Amino acid sequence: MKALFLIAIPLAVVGRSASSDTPSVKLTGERWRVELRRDAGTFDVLAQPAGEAAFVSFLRPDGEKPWFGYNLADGKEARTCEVKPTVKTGGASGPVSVRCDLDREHAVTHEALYTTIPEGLVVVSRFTAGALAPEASIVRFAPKLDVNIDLLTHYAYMDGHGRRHQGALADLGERNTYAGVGAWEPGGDVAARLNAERPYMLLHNPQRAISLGVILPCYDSLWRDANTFLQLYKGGYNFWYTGFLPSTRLRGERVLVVYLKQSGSPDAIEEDAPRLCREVPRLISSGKIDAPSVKAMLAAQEAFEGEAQALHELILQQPPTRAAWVAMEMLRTAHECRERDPVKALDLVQRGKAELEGG
Amino acid sequence: MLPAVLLPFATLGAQPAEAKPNLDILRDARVFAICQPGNTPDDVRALREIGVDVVVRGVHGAWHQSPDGARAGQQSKLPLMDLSHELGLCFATMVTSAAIYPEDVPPGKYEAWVTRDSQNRMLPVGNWHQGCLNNPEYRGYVKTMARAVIDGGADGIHYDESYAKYYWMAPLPGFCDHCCAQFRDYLRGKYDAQTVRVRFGIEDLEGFRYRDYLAAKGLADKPWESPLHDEWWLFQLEATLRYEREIVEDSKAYARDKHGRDLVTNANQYDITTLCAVLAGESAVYDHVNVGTGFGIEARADGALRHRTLLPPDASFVPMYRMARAATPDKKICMFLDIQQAPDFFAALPAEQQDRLMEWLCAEAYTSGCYHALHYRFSQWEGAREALKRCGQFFGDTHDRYFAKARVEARIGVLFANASYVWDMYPTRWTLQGPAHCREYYGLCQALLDSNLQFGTVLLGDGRFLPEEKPAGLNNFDILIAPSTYALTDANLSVLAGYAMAGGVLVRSGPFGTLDEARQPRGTLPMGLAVGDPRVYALRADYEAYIATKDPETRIALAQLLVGQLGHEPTTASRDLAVNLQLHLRRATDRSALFLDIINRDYQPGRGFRATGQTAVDLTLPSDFGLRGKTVRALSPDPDGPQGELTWTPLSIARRTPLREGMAGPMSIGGRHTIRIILPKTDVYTLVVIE
Repeated sequence: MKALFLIAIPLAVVGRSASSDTPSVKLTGERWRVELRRDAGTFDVLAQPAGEAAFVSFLRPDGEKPWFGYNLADGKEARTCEVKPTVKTGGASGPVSVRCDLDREHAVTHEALYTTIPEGLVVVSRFTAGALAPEASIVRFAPKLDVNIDLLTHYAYMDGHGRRHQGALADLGERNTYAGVGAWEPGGDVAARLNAERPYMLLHNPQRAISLGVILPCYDSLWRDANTFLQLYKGGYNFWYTGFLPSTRLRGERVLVVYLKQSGSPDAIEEDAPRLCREVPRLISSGKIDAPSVKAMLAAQEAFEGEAQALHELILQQPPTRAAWVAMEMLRTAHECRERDPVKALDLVQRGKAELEGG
Repeated sequence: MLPAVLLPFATLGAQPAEAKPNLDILRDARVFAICQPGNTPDDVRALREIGVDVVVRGVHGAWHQSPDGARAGQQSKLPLMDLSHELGLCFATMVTSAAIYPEDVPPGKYEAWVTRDSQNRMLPVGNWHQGCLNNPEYRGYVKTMARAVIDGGADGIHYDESYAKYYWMAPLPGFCDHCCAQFRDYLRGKYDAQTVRVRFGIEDLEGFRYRDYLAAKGLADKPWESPLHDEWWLFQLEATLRYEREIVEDSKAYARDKHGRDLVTNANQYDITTLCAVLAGESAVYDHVNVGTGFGIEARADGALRHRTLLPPDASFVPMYRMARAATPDKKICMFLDIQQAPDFFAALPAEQQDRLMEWLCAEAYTSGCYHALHYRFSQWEGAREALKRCGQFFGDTHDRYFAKARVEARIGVLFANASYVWDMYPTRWTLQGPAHCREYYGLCQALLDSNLQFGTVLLGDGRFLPEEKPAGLNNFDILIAPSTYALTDANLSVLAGYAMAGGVLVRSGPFGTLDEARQPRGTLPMGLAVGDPRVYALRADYEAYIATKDPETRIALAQLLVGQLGHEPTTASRDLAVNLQLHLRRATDRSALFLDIINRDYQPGRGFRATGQTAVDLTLPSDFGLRGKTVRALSPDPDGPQGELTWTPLSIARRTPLREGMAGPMSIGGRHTIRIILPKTDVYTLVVIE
């Protein structure tokens, strides 16, 4: 029921300006606006500071445009911001799809599917590629931003141990310096992982009560090895890597929440993150948000417990034969990888069952 | 004689024992520790109360000191050394063979002694430099420093980073004038002028200087691409180990001749995937193996170099211990944490869980036939005294009976080939390209540990740094696994061919013997060792990547091949999904007893270990191990010891039902059996003894 409520938000609060002759599709909410450009796979993100009339952009003036994409092992990059996308809108409140061909030769495409919710945007980020696509060293499932730190003056995130890291960006020290997880090098305020229950990172301005956050639902599976950090880089760049994965494969699907509820502190995102991490998967499972790979993963997660239990009971009835040992090994391995790869885990359970039946 | 750990604290100073020779203390040692700095008599008493016999790195008067300063510093500790002698504690002082500071060395010598890169630049390491052991004056200085602390009463010396050159850093060291001159002599001794002209393009060997050669070829910033780099590396390895031995022999002779006492020596050897080959080579130089380590290991996966913290449930120190044990069967092997401050993950644990982690470190070491140096103190990180005492007393008391004279009971052997290890510097440090035997070895062992498949490590020596005769007990293994043993000697191959001919199964993972010990391509393999030969199987998975990714398919591929395809019978198994145990099966060397080690690896960052409930483990007994008259019992260093009762049940495969129930106590069945042992609750470690 909650899922239905979420996508039925009145357009007065969460809305869209999507006429095909405008240069961008505007997704809006309370004191925030995202403008998806039609001429390039990039966007602007803006907010209205408390007590002010005008919206301001969170992006650094003349900075690098936001982009999804990837780095190849030889250092070359493929960026959506350098490609004219195919933009499709799904009716008044349906999702907006922005699809970019990043490498026609190897059929590499990226599609971002934006669905508006009261707290911001749910983004399904999807790479597809032909069989001979090159190996990538970094796959940017969540966008790289170059943010304006005159506006977004503070940071916050919660680490894997449940400790909140927060402070003023000005206190991070001389460039290059970092805040977040999986940074390129030590320095600043870094940690190994985000908190799985509250997998968020927020940049905000306490005085003007504005903020820009990212939440990575299904953190232990979809984002397990993800790097999410702000890099205050030499030359005045303020790169916010909101979520990239080391990978050799240019395929897959991830889902993230761009958290746009405007606030001057991390309290709101910290409170909302666990709920959103439950509700976004429900939206996907129910088909309200189209993310077939994630849906399959969630279905595997759902099915795992019963299947694994059944196999375990079967094994317990067996004498200590080699087949029983192999089946148990598959079951144990499945249990150990169920968080990070539920599809693989379910597959192992089924193979364990076959092992016993074959034996 | 009662072990000293049982002496009441108050009596330690009052009843001095006769001083025991240091090497005898080492020979009989059960418990090791690190204590740096060790400043007070109270520390000595506390160490002894914990049960410590040998401090592998402690009292230091010789760090950032001139020889005179080191002598004075060590002499200021004489009351402490006297107390150590009285209490039978051997305290190794630290002498660096690496770091020198300008203010400590004789005027005008600093620049002459410092190691140089291939462009003759001094290579700073923080605010100090490393001296070059190829320089005879610098070696003399290190000897003088060691003699100074011996004069000051040192019982032992820990030579810190005695190889003195950080071969894994860029720019690469080892190109000073002394290095160049000795490298020329090395080439001259190995090749004639014609050969070096044709093979390496050296026209004038007499006037040859390697730095100039590299510059002429445009390789000064990447010497590992030089045609001579393999030769340079072999030269440096041999010279380093030769000069380390020279220094150690000088120190020992000085202590013996001038002061009439023996000297215990060790080095800071570091872990197996960081400084390849030096570790194994140094093991032959010092009195015991002393592996200084951090908590991390790096591996290439998904096109990047990734870090894995060495903590349960995903990683273990056991592969390193077993490699060291195989390479050095006749010496004590100790590992200490070379970490000055408590790591974040450690500090984040509740206090009692920090203690559990210390216990886990001990359990991993002792069950591998090695030692973990109790972390009494290292600069800004001090171990909890009570936890150390608990570990020291448990492992000290049980050492002789259950750990010192036991070995892994396994039918699977994993090969560790020094001929490959010598060249692992290329893929692990210099270029990141190509196979890395030590990492493949580690990842494969980790996969075996994850599946609780019992294995032993088998060393194949290279004939240069470690002897290459046939490893003892090779034919006890039904299956040998070769993890990317890309370089092997002819003798290694001959041993393996003989093993296969005798009916052994060889599983090859990655390249196998494609190079010889000089890293030269080999044409063909001996009969019986190629994939497709009847006793040879290929394992197609990346076990280096497994370190970082823990890819389930990689683990399952190994289990399916060994058990499903090759018919290996696992001897230990748990069917309880609620527990995550590492199970080691060991056997007394006189074959009279079996030891089943239960190490809990249900560990979560920030929370620590979750104790097991009572749980069942199936144990298949060796065919020559009868149970008649045996008893089974459990021991544990956990704070409350083994919690609950241990029971066992014989299982029959044929009848698929338990034969009868049995309690802990005398057993009366014979022959080969699988028994189901119901273990008591375990926090970290339980030892099940069947004897």
